[in-house]
Amino acid sequence: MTTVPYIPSYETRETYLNSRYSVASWLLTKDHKRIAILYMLSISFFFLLGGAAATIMRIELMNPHGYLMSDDVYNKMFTTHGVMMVFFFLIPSIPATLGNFLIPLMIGAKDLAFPKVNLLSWYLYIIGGLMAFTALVAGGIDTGWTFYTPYSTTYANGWVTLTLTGIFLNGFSSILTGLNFLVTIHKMRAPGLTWFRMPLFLWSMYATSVIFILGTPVVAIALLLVIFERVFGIGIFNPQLGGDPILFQHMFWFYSHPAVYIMILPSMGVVSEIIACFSRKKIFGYEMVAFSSLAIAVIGFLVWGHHMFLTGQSVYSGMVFSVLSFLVGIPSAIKVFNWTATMYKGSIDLKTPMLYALGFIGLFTLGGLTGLFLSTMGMDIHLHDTYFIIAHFHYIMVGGALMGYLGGIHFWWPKITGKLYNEWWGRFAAFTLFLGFNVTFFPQFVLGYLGMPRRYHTYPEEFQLLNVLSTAGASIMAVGYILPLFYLTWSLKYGKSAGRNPYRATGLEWQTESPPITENFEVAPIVTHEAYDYAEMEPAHV
Amino acid sequence: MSEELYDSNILTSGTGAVGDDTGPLARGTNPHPIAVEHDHTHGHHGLVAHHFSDLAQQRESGTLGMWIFLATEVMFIGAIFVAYFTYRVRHEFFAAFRHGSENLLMVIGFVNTLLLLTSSLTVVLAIRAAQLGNKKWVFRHLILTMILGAGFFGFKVVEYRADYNEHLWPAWPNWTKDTPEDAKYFLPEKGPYFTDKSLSVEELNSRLDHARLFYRFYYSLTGLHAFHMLVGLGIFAFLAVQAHRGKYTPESHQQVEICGLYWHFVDIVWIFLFPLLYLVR
Repeated sequence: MTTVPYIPSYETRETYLNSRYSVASWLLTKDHKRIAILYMLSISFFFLLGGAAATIMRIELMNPHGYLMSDDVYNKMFTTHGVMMVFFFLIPSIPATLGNFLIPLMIGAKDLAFPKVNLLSWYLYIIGGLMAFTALVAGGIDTGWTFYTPYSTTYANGWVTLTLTGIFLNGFSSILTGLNFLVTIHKMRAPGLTWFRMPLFLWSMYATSVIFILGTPVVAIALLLVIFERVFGIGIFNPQLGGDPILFQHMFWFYSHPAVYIMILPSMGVVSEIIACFSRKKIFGYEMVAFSSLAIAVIGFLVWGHHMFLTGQSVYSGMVFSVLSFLVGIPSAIKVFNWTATMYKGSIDLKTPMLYALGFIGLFTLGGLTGLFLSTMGMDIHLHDTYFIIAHFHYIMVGGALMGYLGGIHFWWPKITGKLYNEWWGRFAAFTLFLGFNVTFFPQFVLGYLGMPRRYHTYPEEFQLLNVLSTAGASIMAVGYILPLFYLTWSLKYGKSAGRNPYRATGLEWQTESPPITENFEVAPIVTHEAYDYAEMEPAHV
Repeated sequence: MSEELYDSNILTSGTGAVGDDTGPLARGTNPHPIAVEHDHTHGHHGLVAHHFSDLAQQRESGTLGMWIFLATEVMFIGAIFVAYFTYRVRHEFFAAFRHGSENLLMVIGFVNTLLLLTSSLTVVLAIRAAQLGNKKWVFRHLILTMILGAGFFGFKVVEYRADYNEHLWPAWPNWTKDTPEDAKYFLPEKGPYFTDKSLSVEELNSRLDHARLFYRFYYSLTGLHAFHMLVGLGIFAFLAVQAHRGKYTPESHQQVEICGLYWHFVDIVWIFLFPLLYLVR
């Protein structure tokens, strides 16, 4: 052992967290790391809102007769849940927090290409979110998160306009974030960091940003036209005025199906990092995993019609959309197989992030396979608008996207805060979440297959057992969500210092201090090796 | 040493021995080498933001950013274009669009096209002047661009006003209630297509309904375009102030170039709008 050079400890060293303390230094910061923290706090707020709405729904559904609330309130609850979770939590979740924090660190840059634009995108997000929140407090909306016309135009109350404006602003926040990421990844990479040396998280963020750039404006214009119709009465979608409501669905799903890949692709990136690190192996088939991200982004734009098999589109176009939807399964399967192949004969360590990653693989596989059921036109006619759909997309969005987000938060928590959380509680929470999730949503597959439709709060009594089971699972899952709030917060004060690289992971972000200094690196790094060079880092270990 | 470092107790043990010195770089045994480069070699300290390594990187980033933004804009406006064509190719809308277009003021549309195309020229001249270091003409060309853009905007307002007076506003004041007296707010009068007395009332109303859709596209598209013009005028006002202070030199006039890209985009959108709205008659 050689002598250890002295490095000042976290408490005395200047970091991005303690360089300045004023409120203005946070609210007007242009540091990508601080903006990531702002995002993390604000998306957690909207997550809790959406979660509260879900809790109320699950309590209501324990009883087949719907005693707790009226139909109208129930409609408002599932709309609130959908709007908050989709637009204000899932879409910004990983890109705006982990992406913001990690992209400059991973490519060895001092900041994103446009720091002011980055701050602007947070403000757009928070203003949009508060608008939607105001609409919720003022009386709520009952259109469903999809805002289908004419529910959203002719038959809804005034708060739809405010909510739509909020989502519109939030869309611009996404676009600016994506723009910033694309330019940063293109132009700011450290010397030696070629495209095929980039960590896979960057590839997935790149693919996500492409969807942000090309998909979001289309839903923005669709929602803007709904606003025009509500405010000025110049509706493109109103049959009473000569328009066609189905056109709205086309424009909506042109974005909102790729939006599912906005949620899942970043999680896939996170999982690639975690699997490689805790298997101590280079990711199997790096190029294939990288290109499969792009393939998902591209094919994802061509499948929106599978949401509309029953809207009277021609059988021929239905078949085309069906085949294209099957095609998305290929790059998704490539990823799953490559992750499992990476673990094969790896030195697997079941730390908290790894548990989340394994949970992701299992749940995402189930969600993806049931997606194939739904892209089969004949099956979809039976399963359309039932709880089978609900279970399917929650396996993707919660089992996939959210597990990935929590896994990423746990994986990079030492880097973000410089502290280690309690590993036992971390594993316990991950396990609780996995268990609760399955108990909640697996019964819904059965419910849907038996024919229980979504968006109803009363149902035949024979469905009660499965519904009660689902509600019981939701309460277990709630514990899994709330626990990290406690032990992660606890770690901020009482956690042990993490050191630069507690997991001995590869990647530039682990080469700098934890938490990093404001400028990220003391000296500008140069990359000479490929990503996931675990073999060289730790020869013949274990 | 590796085993020690990666002892799984590192996360849970109570020894407190895990400090900031565990990283491979800190131990000087980093098997994943990153070399060291000092980034004090670049010039132009005042022009380059702190997070860029040199002026070229900053310039390329800005330009790429604007192109990506324009890609977003293409999808934004493009989505309405697709909606427009979705209706336009349908038999029942085809004639209504054509005859609806006849009621628009072609002269104003034509003049505005000329103004906008000329303003794109003046932007390019401003960039050229900046490249040549002619600070006075950078400012003058930017002002000229603003005058042309404001002219476009002024004519557009006049046109909207005339359209409204001609009963070309497609919304019914109380459009959720289908009352006959609301119909008079929308009545294109030029040409017999919408006023042919030999046709039944139902037939005429159906033609009017289809033409209404054309006007909804007209107002949505030109309205969004006008909004982009307004934003552009604001940007050019800012650029003109900067130019007046002599900020744009042959080495550094990237702002003018990037904003010029935006202005050309607004111009190109109009080049598509003009035939789709005015020339389909």
